[in-house]
Amino acid sequence: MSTFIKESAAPQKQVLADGTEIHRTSPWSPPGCHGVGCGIRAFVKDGKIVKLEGDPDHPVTEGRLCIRCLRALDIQYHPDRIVHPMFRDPKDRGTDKWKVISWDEAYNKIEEEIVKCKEKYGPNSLSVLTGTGREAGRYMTNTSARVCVTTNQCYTQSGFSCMAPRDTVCSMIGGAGYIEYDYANGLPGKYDDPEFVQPKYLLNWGRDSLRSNPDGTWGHSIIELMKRGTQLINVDPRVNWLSTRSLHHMQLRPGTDTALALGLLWVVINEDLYDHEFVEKWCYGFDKFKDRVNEYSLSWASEVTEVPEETIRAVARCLSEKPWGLNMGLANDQNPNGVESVHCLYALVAITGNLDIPGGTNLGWNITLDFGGNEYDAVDGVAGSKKKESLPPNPVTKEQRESTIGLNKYPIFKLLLGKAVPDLFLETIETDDPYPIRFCWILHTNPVAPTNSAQPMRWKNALQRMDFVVAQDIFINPTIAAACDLFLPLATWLEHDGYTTPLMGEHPGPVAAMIKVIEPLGEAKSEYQIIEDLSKRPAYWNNFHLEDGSTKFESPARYISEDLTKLVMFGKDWDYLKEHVDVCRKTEYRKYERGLLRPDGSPGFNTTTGQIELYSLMFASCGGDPLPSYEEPRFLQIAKPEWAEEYPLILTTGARNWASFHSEHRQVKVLREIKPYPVVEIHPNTAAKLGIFEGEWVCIENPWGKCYEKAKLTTRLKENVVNADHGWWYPEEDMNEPSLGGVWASNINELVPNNEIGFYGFGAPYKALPCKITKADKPPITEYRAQDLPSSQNYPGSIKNDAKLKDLMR
Amino acid sequence: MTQKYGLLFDNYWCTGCHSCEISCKNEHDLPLGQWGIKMLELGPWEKTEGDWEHKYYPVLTSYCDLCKERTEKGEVPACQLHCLASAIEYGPLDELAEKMAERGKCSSILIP
Repeated sequence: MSTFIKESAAPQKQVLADGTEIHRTSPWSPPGCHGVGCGIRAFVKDGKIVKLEGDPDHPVTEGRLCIRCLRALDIQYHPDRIVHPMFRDPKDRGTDKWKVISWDEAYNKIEEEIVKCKEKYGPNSLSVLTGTGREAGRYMTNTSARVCVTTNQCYTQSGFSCMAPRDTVCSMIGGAGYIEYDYANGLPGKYDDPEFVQPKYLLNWGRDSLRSNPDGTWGHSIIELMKRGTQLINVDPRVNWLSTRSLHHMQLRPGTDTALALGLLWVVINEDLYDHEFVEKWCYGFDKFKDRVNEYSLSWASEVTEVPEETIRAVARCLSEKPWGLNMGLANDQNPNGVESVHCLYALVAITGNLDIPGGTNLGWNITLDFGGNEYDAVDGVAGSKKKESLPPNPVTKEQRESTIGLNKYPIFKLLLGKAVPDLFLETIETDDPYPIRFCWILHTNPVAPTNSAQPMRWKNALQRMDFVVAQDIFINPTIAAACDLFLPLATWLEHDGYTTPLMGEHPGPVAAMIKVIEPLGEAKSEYQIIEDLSKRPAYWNNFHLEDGSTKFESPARYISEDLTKLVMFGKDWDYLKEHVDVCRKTEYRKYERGLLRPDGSPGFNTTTGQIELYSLMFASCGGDPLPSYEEPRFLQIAKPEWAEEYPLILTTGARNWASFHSEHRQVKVLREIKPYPVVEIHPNTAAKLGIFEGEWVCIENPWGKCYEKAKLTTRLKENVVNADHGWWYPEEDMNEPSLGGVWASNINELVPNNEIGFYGFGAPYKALPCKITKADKPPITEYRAQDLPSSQNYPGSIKNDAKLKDLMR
Repeated sequence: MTQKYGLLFDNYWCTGCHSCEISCKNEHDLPLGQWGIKMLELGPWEKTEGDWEHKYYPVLTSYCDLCKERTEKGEVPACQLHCLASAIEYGPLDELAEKMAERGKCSSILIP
């Protein structure tokens, strides 16, 4: 794979006359963010980071930086950040009876509890939980398969409703990686590169990229494209800012994405707007696909989605003009019918001939980064796994793989993910059926607050049934306050080495070095270091070392170098990356014509037929429908008319904001000044009928639960749709049970059911639920101005209780 | 007369990201509740069906010194460097006015 660098970039490290060091680096986590790898300049004076700013030499971000990183030092030096390992007796869960212990004691405890749990409950009675998009994901399989030696690794979001559905459909249909709009990030001349073609349109589907930089894609590239003339087609139930700048805005009824995509396909096919040559040469099963689309119609799609027929028709006609890019978002994952909407959108890109052309929609490389639990893992040279890392095959047994919770019911999980099915995993830890799971290791996630889980009270209660729970993080959060026994303090992204790659390494653009600019505060350790420490213990030595004693975990440099050279096909090692900070992998267009997708080097796609399987043999082999179909949102008026009177509003959740990454960043006063409290957006006419005024606390309620947020009146939504913030808790509130940092006050995910997922185990209805709203009689928590936010936290392992670190506090 | 400098804002493309506000706060070490640059929001409201007014207007306060310390070193002001939409530009007023005229819509030039 060819790479390029910006020759004129400043050196990684400069020293000013007064001794201040300036380090070029890039962030990932903790604190959490998607791994765009934005350019940062960190100013270090006398061992303390005194300033962070954007790095103008970053090839994509060019100095631009969002407010979370602009205030990252507030987290780095926050008085309540925990920097020493702490232990709390399991009988004291929910209280603040933590005491500082040494790392050796912590590791001994872990080793002891793992043995105890296995002896008492069996080989797969241990679990590892992960959250959204953080660096912790790089180390999850090492924690689960090589330390715990279990296959019950679980991403806690119902329906695994983040990225995996989209990515998986791309693998199933196209035999390659994720598909993403081309924003010239892998071209040396960027938008002016001779290879680049300006996209005519960008189809932005259920993705608020400006705030989220989703999955590592630089969100404001949309603005760059639009400034240069690309026209936006926005699909969102909200008239968000992007909608007001779009050529067409399709304001669909929440949850009806598949119907809208089928409507577009119907017009493209019936008006003969598709690329016949591409379809004939590269698509399998077009006739059957066409027959399926023709079971629907434009008027049907319009009626179901509430998008006017003429808008759908006009958009479809735009999409017949090349090139256009697809920006496909989380709304497709958070929908039990989402696998089908992704299937449709993939087909739309393909049959209009926009796949992997300049300015179109790039095909991702088929790179599997450390998923590691699927049935091909550790089998040399099979499927996507050609790993040559210096690690022995992981020691989990075939029996363990087969007993992973949910894999027998959901074949795609077994085939491609090898992780527990979250909805069934929750039931298992609640009931011990089919077997008990009583040890849990939480890797930098917060399922109670929640980052992503549905019905978090159930997660809390289930976690409290565990015999032992370990968590690694930088703060005590509600999950840890409720259910954890051992806290391992993590180093931030400023305190350890690592690297970021856009879109799980599947796409071109900058691979960025995350460089340790200061030593970790107190005794904090990186996720890498924790694994390296454990790998050296006799109990785990053989799980990490080859017979000659070598291991990928010899040092961070070796670990990263092996990742770069052996997994992400980057061809350069850590020394090279660290020297240049940002090294771009070059965009390769039309990979299917050039033999770049199949292991045998022949042209075509890496599927059974060598083509894009519009009629999906993979879905068929998993017992499913090879063609997409529409499912009405399960709990809205049409499917559930008996609920309509009691719950007349449609609730959509999960929209992102500038000031936080899911449940993180609530401790930072400057960010709380930007976003002080959670809001639910309500149309003024609806609010008037309910007697609700701007800024008032309201109660949002549905059959699963209720919570409180502040009303924001806006005509951005239709009168029957409300949009509520997620991930809210209040670090200033009492952290002990039952308050747990006020986590139940505004917990919108209490209104989201578990196990209402799609056929393949993917997609939960986070964005299309019924609800009612009433005026709240009083605020659910004490309100403060940002400058008055108190802290009731006083943990012994925190910065404010470390005499040597106190002076660093911000 | 010495040349006066100011900031040119592209209010069509300003996405309301707050990076100007916070980077200014960092640069000038301003307390909570006070700002060197503050973003104001216009709208959203629907003028006619499908045609919306929704814009952000950053305004300068008397704390703003156009990042004198930075510009003297040849650097751009903190708000310009960090603006996610690249919608802020520092320069001499006559040059900015020319650029504004060229752009022809939805822009503002401010001096503190």
